Amino acid sequence: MFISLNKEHAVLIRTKLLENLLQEVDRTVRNKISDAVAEIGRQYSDNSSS
Amino acid sequence: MRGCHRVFPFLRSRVLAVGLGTWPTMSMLAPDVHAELGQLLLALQAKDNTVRSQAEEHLQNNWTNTRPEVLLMGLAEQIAASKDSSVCPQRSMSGHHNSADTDYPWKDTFLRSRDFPPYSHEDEKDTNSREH
Repeated sequence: MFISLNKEHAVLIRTKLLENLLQEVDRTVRNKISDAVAEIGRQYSDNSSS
Repeated sequence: MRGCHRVFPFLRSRVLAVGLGTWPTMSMLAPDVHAELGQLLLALQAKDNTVRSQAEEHLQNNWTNTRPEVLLMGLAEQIAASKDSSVCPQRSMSGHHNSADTDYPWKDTFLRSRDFPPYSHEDEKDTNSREH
C-alpha cells in the first residue's frame, strides 16, 4: 500500500514514522515501529526507488 | 453544472491538502479523522466477530481503498498519541507521557481502549523477545 502512494504523501508518512522511532521510549513499541520502517525499506528496495 | 466539474477536482485537491497538510503542525490530520480512526481501531479489536467483521469491511472500503495516505498517516500519528495498552501492556502503566499526548483533544477516545481485555500476544513473541 505504502509504495503506491504519491511521493509527497509517502515522504510525509515515512518522516513521521522515523520521528516516532526516534522519540519512542518504550522498547516494545520501538520494535514495532522498527518493523514498519523495515517494511517500508523493503518496499522501496523491491521497487528500486528512494 | 458544467462549472462544477471544473471546481470539484480543485476542491478535492484542496481538501486532500488540508487533510494531509504540509505545514509544520502537531498533527497533519483533523481531529475528527483521528477520532474516526480511533473508533475503527477499537472495533477491529472487538471480541464480537460481527463487530470485527464490519470493522474490517469498513477499513477496506472507507480507508484502504479510498484514502490510503490518510490511513497510514493516521496510524503513524496514533503511535505518538495513543496509549492503547493492547499494543503494549506496560505502556499505560509505566506513567510516561509523550509530549504530544496533551496536545491531542481526541485522546480520551483512545484512553477508553485501556478497558479492552488484552488479546493474545502469541504473534508478537518474536518481536517482543528481541533485545535492543
